[in-house]
Amino acid sequence: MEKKIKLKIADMKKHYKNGDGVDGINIDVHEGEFVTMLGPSGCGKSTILRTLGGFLSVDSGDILIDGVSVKSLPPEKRPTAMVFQSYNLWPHMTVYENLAFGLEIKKIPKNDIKAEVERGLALVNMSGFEKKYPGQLSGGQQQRVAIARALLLKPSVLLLDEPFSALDAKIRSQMREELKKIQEELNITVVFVTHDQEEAMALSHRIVVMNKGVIEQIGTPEEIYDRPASQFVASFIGEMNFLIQNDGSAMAVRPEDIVITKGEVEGQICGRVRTAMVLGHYVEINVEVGNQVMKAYVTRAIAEEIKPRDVVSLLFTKTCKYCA
Amino acid sequence: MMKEKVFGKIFPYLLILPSLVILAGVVFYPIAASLLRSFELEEGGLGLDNYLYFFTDKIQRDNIIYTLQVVMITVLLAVGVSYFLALYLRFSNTWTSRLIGRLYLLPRFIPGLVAVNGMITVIRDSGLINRISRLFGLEIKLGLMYNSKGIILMNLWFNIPFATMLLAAALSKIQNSSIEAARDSGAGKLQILRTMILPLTYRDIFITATFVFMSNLGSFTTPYLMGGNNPQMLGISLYSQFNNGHYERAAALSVIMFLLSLLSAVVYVYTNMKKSEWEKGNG
Repeated sequence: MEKKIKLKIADMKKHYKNGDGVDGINIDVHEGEFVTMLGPSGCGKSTILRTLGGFLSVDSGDILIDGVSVKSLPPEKRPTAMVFQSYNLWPHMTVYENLAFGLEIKKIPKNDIKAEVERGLALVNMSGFEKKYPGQLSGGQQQRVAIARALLLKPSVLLLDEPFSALDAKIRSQMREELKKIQEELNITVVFVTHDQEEAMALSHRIVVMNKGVIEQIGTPEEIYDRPASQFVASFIGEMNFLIQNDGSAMAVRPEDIVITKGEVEGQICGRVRTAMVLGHYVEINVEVGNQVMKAYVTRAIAEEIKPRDVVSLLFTKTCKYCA
Repeated sequence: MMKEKVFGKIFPYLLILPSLVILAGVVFYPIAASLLRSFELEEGGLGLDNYLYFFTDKIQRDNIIYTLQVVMITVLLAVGVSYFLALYLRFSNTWTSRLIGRLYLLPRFIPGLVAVNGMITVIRDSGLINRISRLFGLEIKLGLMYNSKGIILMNLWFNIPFATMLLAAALSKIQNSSIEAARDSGAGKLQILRTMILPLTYRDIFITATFVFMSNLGSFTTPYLMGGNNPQMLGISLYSQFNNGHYERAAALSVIMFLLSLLSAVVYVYTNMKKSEWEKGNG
């Protein structure tokens, strides 16, 4: 069964005065889908998100939510809610007032607001923090409240602009997991922006990889990882070795797709071990091949046999090829 | 050993001694002397007569009321206009707002006396505006000279740039994402002003108001050149008491002006000290 399209970005273009911007953006987001825009800073991912929220106008193309064009609506009229990177909550309002603000504007009865706020806080594990001010909360707690505040607006599409990038690694992965849980529980449609490929892989149903204002690839995390459509995607997502061929093209191989054997093996690429580093349950081996360095991940059992300066042979079990 | 210890304790005080001596000589002593002087009666002895004079004599009482009126109107207009100007500079990103943002401090760089005389040549009844109007067969007389209107106009010239500078700094502390999150929640422009911007800057508004109040209470140049003979601003009144040899009354009026300034200083200190609940943060 074909899922309903919740958000449609059609041939959208937005250019800034300095020439930066995004071009030819076509994305369909289905109901209940978690889509992440991923790319290096300046690739245009936040620009797209801000056009969805109504904080930026588009030059051409259209944005449809539930089949209705929202292109010319201001943020306050759009069925979207945004969670910003930081400085998200209003500092002079308590947690309760922060959450109630949008509901009061909608003229919802006081008692209903109270119940809604309680529900919202419970959803993000922040019950009992109603009377606190944002300044009294940690960064992670503030972002939880911000997510609850956005959810209480009952948006058709929830937009998140690098919401966890200001948090430390441990809290970040915890928040990631909780966001995933909430998204699945409520089955809401989410557009998420990040430059962290691990975050994108962990959270998303589909990832939109962007570079220099254009879409490089749209696909599931598996598709993006296993079959990167371009050399940029291949290098940006995960670790990738590129072996430049004689015709100028690049052969790409993931470190885990390299089998290392000691000594020279007929028909395989030969090299000399540069370093071997234990990274927990696996070992990273760097091998000099000509004037290039190839990275391979092997188990610790295999790594025991291999010492720096050993001559080894490399077998690639899976490769991609990119033209020059 | 003992000697070194004692020296180490005294040394910091030696460092502040020169400034303390100067401060005592030119600030503390004159204040104390004026304060004492203000209780001395012209006919000998001590009493409150010098003070009573300013509150019982009709002309003097009118001067105080007139001064407070002019200053309060100046405060309200200057802070009001400056707040809107600062809002415009903060939230508009147009060519004109950037130009105004660069130019609005310019009046601060023009010496007061020059500015007042410049203004007089424009607005007086035979001034530039009158002459231009006559070219078109009109006879526009603004009637701004020798009354409170001209003084207030001039005060605005001096105070709007200053107040705008303070308020613009306050508004620049408001994060864009705070405003955007409010719009996202469905708030219109007026709601954002009322529920976000005003609560986040009300203290700066008070602080700006006290600064404008204090600096205008004792102003001299503008009322001297543009004011009328009766009623007079307190700065002029003080000058004439002094010139007429009423040193004790002049001292008493100085104390009165100081107390009026103190009133707004109290407001200033209070608003500065009184941190709202949300600003206290952790612990």
